[in-house]
Amino acid sequence: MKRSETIIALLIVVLLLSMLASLASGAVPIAPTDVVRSLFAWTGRADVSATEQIIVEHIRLPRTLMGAIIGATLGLTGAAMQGLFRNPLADPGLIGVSGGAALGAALVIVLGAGVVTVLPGGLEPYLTTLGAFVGGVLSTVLVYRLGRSVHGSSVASMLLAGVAITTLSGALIGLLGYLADNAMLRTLTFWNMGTLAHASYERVAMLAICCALVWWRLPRRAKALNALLLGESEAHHLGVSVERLKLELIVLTALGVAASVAAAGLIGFVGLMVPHFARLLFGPDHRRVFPASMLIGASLLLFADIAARLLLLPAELPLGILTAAIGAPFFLALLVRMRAGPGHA
Amino acid sequence: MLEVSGLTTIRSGRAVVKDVSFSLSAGEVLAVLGVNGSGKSSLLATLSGEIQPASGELRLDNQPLGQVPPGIRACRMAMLPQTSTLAFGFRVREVVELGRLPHRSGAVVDREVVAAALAQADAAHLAERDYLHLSGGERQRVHLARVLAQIWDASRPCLLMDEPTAALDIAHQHLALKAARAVARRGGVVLVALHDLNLAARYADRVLLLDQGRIAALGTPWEVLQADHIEEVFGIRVQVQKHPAFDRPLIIT
Repeated sequence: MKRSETIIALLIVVLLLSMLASLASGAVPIAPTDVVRSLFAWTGRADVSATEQIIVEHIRLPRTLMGAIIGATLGLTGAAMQGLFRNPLADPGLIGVSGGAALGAALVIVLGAGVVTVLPGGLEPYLTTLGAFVGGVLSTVLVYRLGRSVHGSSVASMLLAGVAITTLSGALIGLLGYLADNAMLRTLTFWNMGTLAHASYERVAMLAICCALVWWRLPRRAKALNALLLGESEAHHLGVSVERLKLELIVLTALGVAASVAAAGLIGFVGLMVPHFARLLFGPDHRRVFPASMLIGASLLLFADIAARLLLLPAELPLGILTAAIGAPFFLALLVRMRAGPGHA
Repeated sequence: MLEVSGLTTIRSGRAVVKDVSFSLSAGEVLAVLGVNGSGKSSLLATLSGEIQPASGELRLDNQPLGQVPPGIRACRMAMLPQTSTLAFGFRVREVVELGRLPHRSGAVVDREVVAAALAQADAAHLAERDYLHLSGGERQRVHLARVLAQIWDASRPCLLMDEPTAALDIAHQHLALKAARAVARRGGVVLVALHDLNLAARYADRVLLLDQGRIAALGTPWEVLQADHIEEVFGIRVQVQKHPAFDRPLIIT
């Protein structure tokens, strides 16, 4: 087996372990064997206590699935953005999608109280999600249009527009904080830092529909994105329709990130960091960076969520704090090692 | 094979290529000469389809170039840029493999083509190196190998080279132009923008002298590379003699 295949196989094992750990840990610890039995309870032959089965099936399984899907999507879209901007510091937040989504959610949380009362009760929990999604997509459209000129879209102006939109969203969210009451502020904080606590099968389903499209389309553009790393003219000379590729990458990223933010709030650092790990393992070829980023992103997010659940029992920490706290030192260590070593991967 | 008629290109509101017409038949190497900013790069960029001409026609085998789908065009037309901005640490072999992107020839063929192209660009020994660790001249040769790989199996290739010799030592300058000649020998055409008049004199079948976007002279090296033409365009008095070893002009400054 080739080296890269071995590493991918290892990453898959790590992901499965992280999923198992995520199902097993929480306020009520469940032994891994019981977790597996609970998962197969529907066959009617497994012998497992009803409580454990309910916890695994209705609380931890949707949460684990949501974490894995979001982590994989953030890793994948992060890799795509770093390729599009030809800049290893880019992340999905750069095109304004995260900021816009957070603003959309904040608007609903703080100002939406009046609207909620007139809506049928069942829709209420999804209003924030909808706000986040609309906000994310709108801000991306805005950034893309600002970055366009008669010469086609300019990556540099898109980047600047994205930074401006993100800053503006931050300012407006801060302003909304002043209008919010105590309960709203708590919700806002969790939204801005991310959490998987609201996981449900409905959310998993919504997320899966959006992300499936992203997972299906983005990896198909891996080779074209490799060519784009040479430069836009070079990609053109290699027969890539550059404008279409850029539009496709932006739209898919907006979709994936907006759906993720809508489901779990802002989870920082994953999109920035994960593609770097992938590149350290495989080099910059997107045909390998994409799947690796998905696997690493999913595992990282699950481990971070386990820590978020366990560290302050019975309370729960926002997930974004954990991804940053786990990610930043690891990231710095890698940087130091890269600079110390003879070369980088 | 390649026909250009009345080509005018506008960049940032300024006409950078003005009413340029010429045609190339299979097997020809055309050197494009001119001072900095005379429109050499813009001419190549227009031919490659990277910028749209304001007016005029481009035809490849009697087909308007704008109507050829990008993926099909890229199988036979390649462009070697002046400089490249690749900032990711690909292996050299992977960079050259990018040249095979437009083709669906399969991994086995691609691997052979990449190896052969690397060898022709004298970069085979670099194959497993990190691109970012190479010198400027080595990088330029890697990109030469990349464009050679791109049109390796095209029956009538068209190669555009924008100052391919700028970063190269003297031996590799000749290597780059010999690679251009080899493409022409296979029934292709090559347009190469150059600054070195003697390289143009030695390797080109015809020379196009550009002056502020217009054709100042077009013809064989003996016709174009005359002292008067050169003084008119470059503003420097030169002596033109016969090369002692070849029937080619030798320009002495």
